[in-house]
Amino acid sequence: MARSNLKFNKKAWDEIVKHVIDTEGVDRMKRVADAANGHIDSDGYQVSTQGDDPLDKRDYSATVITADAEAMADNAKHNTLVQEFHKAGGN
Amino acid sequence: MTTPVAPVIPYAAKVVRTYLTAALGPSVRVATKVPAERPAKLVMISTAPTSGGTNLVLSSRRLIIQVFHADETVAGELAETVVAHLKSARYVQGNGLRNVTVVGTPARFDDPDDSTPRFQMTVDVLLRAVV
Repeated sequence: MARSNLKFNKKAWDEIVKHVIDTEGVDRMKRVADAANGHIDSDGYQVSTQGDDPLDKRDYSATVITADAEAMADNAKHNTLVQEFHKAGGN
Repeated sequence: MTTPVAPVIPYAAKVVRTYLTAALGPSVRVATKVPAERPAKLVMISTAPTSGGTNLVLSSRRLIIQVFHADETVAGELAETVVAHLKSARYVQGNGLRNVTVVGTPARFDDPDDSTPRFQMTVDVLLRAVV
Protein backbone atom coordinates (compact mmCIF):
# COMPACT_ATOMS: atom_id res chain seq x y z
CA MET A 1 0.00 0.00 0.00
CA ALA A 2 1.33 3.41 -0.95
CA ARG A 3 2.27 5.67 1.93
CA SER A 4 0.39 8.93 2.21
CA ASN A 5 2.37 12.10 1.70
CA LEU A 6 -0.29 14.16 3.42
CA LYS A 7 1.23 16.54 5.98
CA PHE A 8 -0.82 18.37 8.55
CA ASN A 9 0.18 22.01 8.95
CA LYS A 10 -0.32 22.32 12.70
CA LYS A 11 0.83 25.93 12.84
CA ALA A 12 -1.63 27.02 10.15
CA TRP A 13 -4.43 25.07 11.83
CA ASP A 14 -3.70 26.83 15.13
CA GLU A 15 -3.93 30.17 13.32
CA ILE A 16 -7.33 29.27 11.87
CA VAL A 17 -8.66 28.18 15.28
CA LYS A 18 -7.40 31.37 16.92
CA HIS A 19 -8.87 33.49 14.12
CA VAL A 20 -12.31 31.89 14.51
CA ILE A 21 -12.29 32.32 18.29
CA ASP A 22 -10.96 35.89 18.09
CA THR A 23 -13.48 37.01 15.46
CA GLU A 24 -16.55 34.93 16.38
CA GLY A 25 -16.17 33.64 19.93
CA VAL A 26 -14.98 36.90 21.46
CA ASP A 27 -17.94 38.82 20.01
CA ARG A 28 -20.35 36.27 21.44
CA MET A 29 -18.77 36.36 24.87
CA LYS A 30 -18.69 40.18 24.74
CA ARG A 31 -22.48 40.13 24.44
CA VAL A 32 -22.68 37.92 27.55
CA ALA A 33 -20.22 40.11 29.49
CA ASP A 34 -22.03 43.33 28.53
CA ALA A 35 -25.38 41.90 29.63
CA ALA A 36 -23.89 40.61 32.89
CA ASN A 37 -22.22 43.98 33.61
CA GLY A 38 -25.69 45.51 33.38
CA HIS A 39 -26.42 43.83 36.72
CA ILE A 40 -23.53 45.47 38.59
CA ASP A 41 -21.87 48.88 38.94
CA SER A 42 -18.41 47.79 37.77
CA ASP A 43 -17.18 46.12 34.58
CA GLY A 44 -16.27 43.04 36.58
CA TYR A 45 -17.44 40.58 33.94
CA GLN A 46 -14.70 40.48 31.33
CA VAL A 47 -13.95 38.49 28.19
CA SER A 48 -10.83 36.37 28.20
CA THR A 49 -9.20 34.10 25.64
CA GLN A 50 -6.88 31.31 26.58
CA GLY A 51 -4.94 28.42 25.06
CA ASP A 52 -1.54 26.80 25.04
CA ASP A 53 1.18 27.69 22.52
CA PRO A 54 1.20 25.59 20.41
CA LEU A 55 -2.44 24.71 20.91
CA ASP A 56 -3.49 21.38 22.31
CA LYS A 57 -6.54 19.89 20.65
CA ARG A 58 -9.50 22.29 20.97
CA ASP A 59 -7.96 24.14 23.90
CA TYR A 60 -8.27 27.71 22.61
CA SER A 61 -11.43 29.34 23.92
CA ALA A 62 -13.16 32.60 24.71
CA THR A 63 -14.76 32.87 28.12
CA VAL A 64 -16.38 35.41 30.40
CA ILE A 65 -14.66 35.67 33.76
CA THR A 66 -15.60 37.36 37.03
CA ALA A 67 -12.66 39.73 37.40
CA ASP A 68 -13.61 41.57 40.59
CA ALA A 69 -15.30 40.90 43.92
CA GLU A 70 -18.58 42.53 42.87
CA ALA A 71 -18.94 40.31 39.82
CA MET A 72 -18.01 37.19 41.83
CA ALA A 73 -20.60 37.96 44.50
CA ASP A 74 -23.24 38.88 41.92
CA ASN A 75 -22.70 35.68 39.97
CA ALA A 76 -22.76 33.52 43.10
CA LYS A 77 -25.95 35.20 44.30
CA HIS A 78 -27.89 35.46 41.05
CA ASN A 79 -26.29 32.98 38.62
CA THR A 80 -25.83 35.88 36.25
CA LEU A 81 -23.55 34.10 33.79
CA VAL A 82 -25.95 31.18 33.32
CA GLN A 83 -28.89 33.59 33.07
CA GLU A 84 -27.18 35.69 30.38
CA PHE A 85 -25.34 32.94 28.51
CA HIS A 86 -28.08 32.63 25.88
CA LYS A 87 -26.97 36.00 24.53
CA ALA A 88 -23.94 34.20 23.06
CA GLY A 89 -26.20 32.46 20.57
CA GLY A 90 -27.56 33.69 17.25
CA ASN A 91 -26.17 36.46 15.05
CA MET B 1 -57.29 34.55 26.05
CA THR B 2 -56.99 33.03 22.58
CA THR B 3 -55.33 29.68 21.97
CA PRO B 4 -51.79 30.07 20.55
CA VAL B 5 -51.10 28.66 17.09
CA ALA B 6 -47.90 26.96 18.27
CA PRO B 7 -48.27 24.08 20.73
CA VAL B 8 -47.50 24.91 24.35
CA ILE B 9 -44.44 23.45 26.09
CA PRO B 10 -45.10 22.31 29.68
CA TYR B 11 -43.51 24.33 32.50
CA ALA B 12 -40.14 22.62 32.86
CA ALA B 13 -39.61 23.36 36.55
CA LYS B 14 -42.94 21.77 37.42
CA VAL B 15 -42.23 18.68 35.29
CA VAL B 16 -38.84 18.16 36.93
CA ARG B 17 -40.14 18.91 40.42
CA THR B 18 -42.82 16.24 40.04
CA TYR B 19 -40.28 13.73 38.72
CA LEU B 20 -37.65 14.40 41.40
CA THR B 21 -40.21 14.43 44.23
CA ALA B 22 -41.26 10.90 43.30
CA ALA B 23 -37.68 9.74 42.69
CA LEU B 24 -36.10 11.17 45.87
CA GLY B 25 -38.84 10.29 48.34
CA PRO B 26 -40.32 12.13 51.31
CA SER B 27 -37.02 12.92 53.08
CA VAL B 28 -36.08 15.45 50.40
CA ARG B 29 -38.04 18.62 49.70
CA VAL B 30 -38.09 19.60 46.04
CA ALA B 31 -39.23 23.19 45.45
CA THR B 32 -39.16 26.03 42.97
CA LYS B 33 -38.54 28.67 45.65
CA VAL B 34 -36.87 28.63 49.04
CA PRO B 35 -39.49 27.68 51.67
CA ALA B 36 -39.98 30.04 54.63
CA GLU B 37 -38.54 27.35 56.91
CA ARG B 38 -35.79 25.49 55.08
CA PRO B 39 -35.93 21.70 55.42
CA ALA B 40 -32.77 19.67 56.11
CA LYS B 41 -32.52 18.42 52.53
CA LEU B 42 -33.63 20.89 49.90
CA VAL B 43 -33.52 20.70 46.12
CA MET B 44 -34.32 24.01 44.44
CA ILE B 45 -35.24 24.31 40.76
CA SER B 46 -35.11 27.58 38.84
CA THR B 47 -35.20 28.44 35.16
CA ALA B 48 -32.68 30.16 32.88
CA PRO B 49 -33.10 31.27 29.26
CA THR B 50 -31.75 29.24 26.36
CA SER B 51 -32.47 29.16 22.64
CA GLY B 52 -34.81 26.18 22.91
CA GLY B 53 -34.26 25.20 19.28
CA THR B 54 -36.57 25.67 16.29
CA ASN B 55 -38.70 22.54 16.61
CA LEU B 56 -42.32 23.44 17.41
CA VAL B 57 -43.11 20.18 19.17
CA LEU B 58 -39.88 19.32 21.00
CA SER B 59 -38.09 22.13 22.79
CA SER B 60 -35.40 22.34 25.44
CA ARG B 61 -35.51 24.42 28.59
CA ARG B 62 -32.54 25.23 30.85
CA LEU B 63 -32.79 24.64 34.58
CA ILE B 64 -30.48 25.53 37.44
CA ILE B 65 -30.78 22.96 40.22
CA GLN B 66 -29.37 23.74 43.65
CA VAL B 67 -29.01 21.31 46.54
CA PHE B 68 -28.72 22.44 50.17
CA HIS B 69 -27.73 20.59 53.31
CA ALA B 70 -25.83 21.63 56.43
CA ASP B 71 -23.29 18.84 55.85
CA GLU B 72 -21.16 19.32 52.74
CA THR B 73 -20.83 15.58 52.07
CA VAL B 74 -24.55 14.96 52.36
CA ALA B 75 -25.27 17.89 50.06
CA GLY B 76 -22.69 16.71 47.52
CA GLU B 77 -23.99 13.15 47.53
CA LEU B 78 -27.58 14.32 47.20
CA ALA B 79 -26.56 16.49 44.25
CA GLU B 80 -24.97 13.46 42.56
CA THR B 81 -28.14 11.45 43.25
CA VAL B 82 -30.22 14.18 41.66
CA VAL B 83 -28.10 14.28 38.52
CA ALA B 84 -28.20 10.47 38.29
CA HIS B 85 -32.01 10.55 38.42
CA LEU B 86 -32.06 13.25 35.76
CA LYS B 87 -29.80 11.23 33.47
CA SER B 88 -32.14 8.24 33.97
CA ALA B 89 -35.26 10.29 33.29
CA ARG B 90 -35.44 9.60 29.55
CA TYR B 91 -35.84 5.89 30.29
CA VAL B 92 -38.72 6.40 32.72
CA GLN B 93 -42.02 6.50 30.87
CA GLY B 94 -44.67 9.06 31.64
CA ASN B 95 -42.54 11.71 33.36
CA GLY B 96 -42.67 14.13 30.41
CA LEU B 97 -38.87 14.34 30.07
CA ARG B 98 -37.75 13.28 26.59
CA ASN B 99 -34.06 13.89 27.25
CA VAL B 100 -31.80 15.53 29.80
CA THR B 101 -28.42 17.04 28.93
CA VAL B 102 -26.14 17.89 31.82
CA VAL B 103 -24.62 21.26 30.91
CA GLY B 104 -22.83 21.75 34.22
CA THR B 105 -22.16 18.88 36.58
CA PRO B 106 -22.74 19.30 40.34
CA ALA B 107 -20.20 21.52 42.05
CA ARG B 108 -20.13 23.45 45.30
CA PHE B 109 -21.27 26.99 44.64
CA ASP B 110 -22.23 28.66 47.91
CA ASP B 111 -24.55 31.61 48.25
CA PRO B 112 -22.30 34.43 49.58
CA ASP B 113 -24.98 35.40 52.12
CA ASP B 114 -25.67 31.88 53.40
CA SER B 115 -23.33 29.57 55.30
CA THR B 116 -25.21 26.40 54.29
CA PRO B 117 -23.27 24.37 51.69
CA ARG B 118 -24.90 24.61 48.27
CA PHE B 119 -24.21 22.43 45.25
CA GLN B 120 -25.37 23.48 41.82
CA MET B 121 -25.86 21.86 38.44
CA THR B 122 -27.22 23.14 35.13
CA VAL B 123 -29.30 20.89 32.89
CA ASP B 124 -31.21 21.20 29.63
CA VAL B 125 -34.45 19.21 29.54
CA LEU B 126 -36.19 18.31 26.30
CA LEU B 127 -39.96 18.54 26.53
CA ARG B 128 -42.78 17.71 24.18
CA ALA B 129 -45.55 20.23 23.57
CA VAL B 130 -48.99 19.49 24.94
CA VAL B 131 -51.56 19.28 22.15
